Amino acid sequence: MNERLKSLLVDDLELNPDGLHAEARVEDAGMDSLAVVELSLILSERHGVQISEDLLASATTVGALNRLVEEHLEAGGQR
Amino acid sequence: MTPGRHEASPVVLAGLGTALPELTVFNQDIGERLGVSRDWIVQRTGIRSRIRCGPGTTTADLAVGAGAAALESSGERSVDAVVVATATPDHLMPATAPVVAARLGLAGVAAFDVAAACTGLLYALQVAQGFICTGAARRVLVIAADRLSHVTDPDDPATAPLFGDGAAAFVVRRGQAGEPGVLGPVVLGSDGRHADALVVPHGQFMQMRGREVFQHAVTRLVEASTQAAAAAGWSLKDVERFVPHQANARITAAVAQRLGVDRHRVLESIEHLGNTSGASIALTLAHAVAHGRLRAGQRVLLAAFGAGLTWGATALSWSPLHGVAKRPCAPALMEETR
Repeated sequence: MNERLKSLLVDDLELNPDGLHAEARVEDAGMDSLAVVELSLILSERHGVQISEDLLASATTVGALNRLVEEHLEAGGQR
Repeated sequence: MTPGRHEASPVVLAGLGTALPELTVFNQDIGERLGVSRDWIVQRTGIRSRIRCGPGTTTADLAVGAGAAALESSGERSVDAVVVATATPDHLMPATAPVVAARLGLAGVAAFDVAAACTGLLYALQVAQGFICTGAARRVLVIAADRLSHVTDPDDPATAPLFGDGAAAFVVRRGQAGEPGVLGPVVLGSDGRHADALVVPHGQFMQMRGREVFQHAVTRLVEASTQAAAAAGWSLKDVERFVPHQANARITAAVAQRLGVDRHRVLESIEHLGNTSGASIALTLAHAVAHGRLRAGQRVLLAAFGAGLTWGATALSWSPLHGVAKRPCAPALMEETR
């Protein structure tokens, strides 16, 4: 899993790191609709990556979320 | 609206009073109806219970209770104007304030409502400062009163758990420069492009797009808070107590984290009162005074965000009030003061 995303989910959103495996559903990992907004805000503020909440919410598993965020980070939003 | 640099007469916080209604509603009551658990509500909102009006209690009843309490706290019964900030007036016309003023024995003074939803208290404070600075008034009673439970759909999981009812009031007066309790410049703003993110259409219940509101709330509260601290000549490190509008504990946490204000400097009341709209900041201040968490001279930053969208923030050094008064909003009081 992308280290920046992992640290964001664990340190900022206070998700349990043990629940963050690729097949886990995002809700089961502790992500609710507001956590999706928080994630979108933090990615934008801290990493300059714009991913809409709707797009983030379309990722149903932790693995899918990881791929989505990684793609955007690699696409040049890195600071 | 960012404050200008002109010299204005200092305006001082001289009284604080609150009035809460009669019914405590716990998460279990709400969760059973919505088919969600108590913990589901706590996790998403930080709310464990809220206090709501019974069917016979009006916004004016709440406002009269808080207004009477604030006058008592200020040690003087007269004011030159009454401003009621409310999103839930009892009637489209007339405004709530003249009725409230009359019931407080203040018939004859200027009285009108300010509608800026959860930011109403800060808008009303700015109006009151304007009255005092121009010499139109020496003392103003500013009341924030709402019963949003009245316009909330009990079957909507997005809004049903959120709102409590209540009122809180300030008396503000002309003061001296350097006096504790002097209000700082008020920063205000709005963006009607997102008006439909949080709306109560005529005759209907509230509709809220929660994620959109959350995002704007965090961004605007951080921005306004930063501006208000700077306008007062403070750094955010100087802030001893941060009192955001109690919308949602997670909004508060996200804002405080971005401002670098650690948890022990943040005052909250949402756990037991829910989101009390315009009244939430002053109810939280009163709660903090009662629990010894707010002392005279402490640097306090207030910030609000609400439907409109509207937002605002201001800074003040906490006033050495004689005491914070509480009043019930029961009909007996109304008879007494009529």
